[in-house]
Amino acid sequence: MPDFDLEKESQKQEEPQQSLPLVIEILPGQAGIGLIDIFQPGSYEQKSLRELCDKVLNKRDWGIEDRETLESINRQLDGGILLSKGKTVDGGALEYADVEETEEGEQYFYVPVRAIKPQEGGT
Amino acid sequence: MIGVNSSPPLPIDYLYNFAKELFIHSGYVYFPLLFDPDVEKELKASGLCSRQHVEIENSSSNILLRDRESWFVKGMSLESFVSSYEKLAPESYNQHLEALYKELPFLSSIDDNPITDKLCTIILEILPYFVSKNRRHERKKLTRDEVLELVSEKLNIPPVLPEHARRILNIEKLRVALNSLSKARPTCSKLPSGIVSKTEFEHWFSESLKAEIIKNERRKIKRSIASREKFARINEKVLAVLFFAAEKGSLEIEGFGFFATEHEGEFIIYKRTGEYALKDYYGRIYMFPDCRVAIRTNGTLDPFVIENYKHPFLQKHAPGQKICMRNTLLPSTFTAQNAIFAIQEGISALLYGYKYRKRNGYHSLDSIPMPGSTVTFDDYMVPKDHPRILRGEVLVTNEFR
Repeated sequence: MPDFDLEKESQKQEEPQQSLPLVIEILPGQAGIGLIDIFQPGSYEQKSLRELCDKVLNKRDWGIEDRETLESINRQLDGGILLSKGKTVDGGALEYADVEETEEGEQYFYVPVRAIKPQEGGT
Repeated sequence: MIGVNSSPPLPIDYLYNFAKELFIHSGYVYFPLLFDPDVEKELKASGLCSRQHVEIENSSSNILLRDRESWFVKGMSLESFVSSYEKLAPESYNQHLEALYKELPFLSSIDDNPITDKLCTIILEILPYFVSKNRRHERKKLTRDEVLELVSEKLNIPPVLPEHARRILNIEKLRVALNSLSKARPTCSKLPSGIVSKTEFEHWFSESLKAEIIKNERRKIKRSIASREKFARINEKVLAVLFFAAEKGSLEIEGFGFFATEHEGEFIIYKRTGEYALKDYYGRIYMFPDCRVAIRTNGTLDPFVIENYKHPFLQKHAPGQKICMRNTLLPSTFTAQNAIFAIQEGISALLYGYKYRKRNGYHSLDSIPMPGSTVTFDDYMVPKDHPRILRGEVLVTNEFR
């Protein structure tokens, strides 16, 4: 009997080979909303996710609400790290990407990145 | 009049049983000075004993007074006795309050405003931080209207405020009550200086306590008016959502939620961790069930796990345990920012805090339990190629450590 889950998994692995825009969202801690930036095909393929995140975080033209989110991210990054799917962000962006669709049916790669300050906890 | 016929016995009975006679001077009650040979010696040496009625002039606080042959020592301020009576003798205070409600029935029909500041902070400030929009390309923090729409959908709230809510939120009724209460304010006589009889003292106290209760009730009504005035300009749909959320006392949206506690107006706020996995020293994987990391809106904002739960950072396998955190100064005042910080710190500890090399925490994932402890994690162990881990549904959150 074929393993449908694994079949889906292999499709998912193949999907990121398409040429789609890349949406990166950097979320502070456990927030539901983060900073979003869009990279057009051709502008992100040769870069690591970390480089792309740095680009997002170094942008200066954020609105007031986004600036608040940026501050929260920077607070987490003071002693913290960026994680995507539980891993550090040193790989290529597409290693972390899922394909999503807008309401109009346009596809894009989506990479959620969390800025986490690991609580040391314990004794 | 309260305290004369129908009123309950006052703790003043105990005062008189103990002291037999009380001396009043400059707003203070003086109690008979119990005989003590050393004090007697000091009084004789000071020459004060020879004077008929004496105040110790060189003492600014007039600690000792003499009336004929008896000495009295300063006891308590009459004013603070009356103003602290609610705390000193809550049952007696409530009996007097009930008596006032019988006299002024409109007071008992005033309801507290269920829409408290804390509830508004939770729904309008904390919830939008943790909850995301479904449509990714429209990502912006939820606006107030969007939050309320979400809550409204979740609680299935009709957009119209029900009649009983209108009654509770009616300011006019409160203003009338405040006016009526101003007219009911009793005039308080002052206790004369000197020895007072029990009846005299009781009469004075009843009048003063009634005035104090009326003052407290006025303050309460003014607070209620102020809290309702804040909502006067909010549209009915918004008010309906806040009111229903307050009445229901609990809500959960996308893993963020709250529920009312046994303390009036206080809540437990939580965020679910979702399932996650941790790695041990040998690279083995342990899958942890979802739990709610919570804080209380009263007291210190220490994050704890609501469920019966075990984790290297929890001492036992039990419900309601505080998460062990190091080098973190947790805030003690409830604000949206502090609550978000504390909940995030708690989740961060559970998900990202365990260092598999260092095995930090009360327990380590891979070793046998400490003597006296029964906490082990073998039952959470799953193969590395567990389908849910391979599919990315459950993340190994301490892999990077």
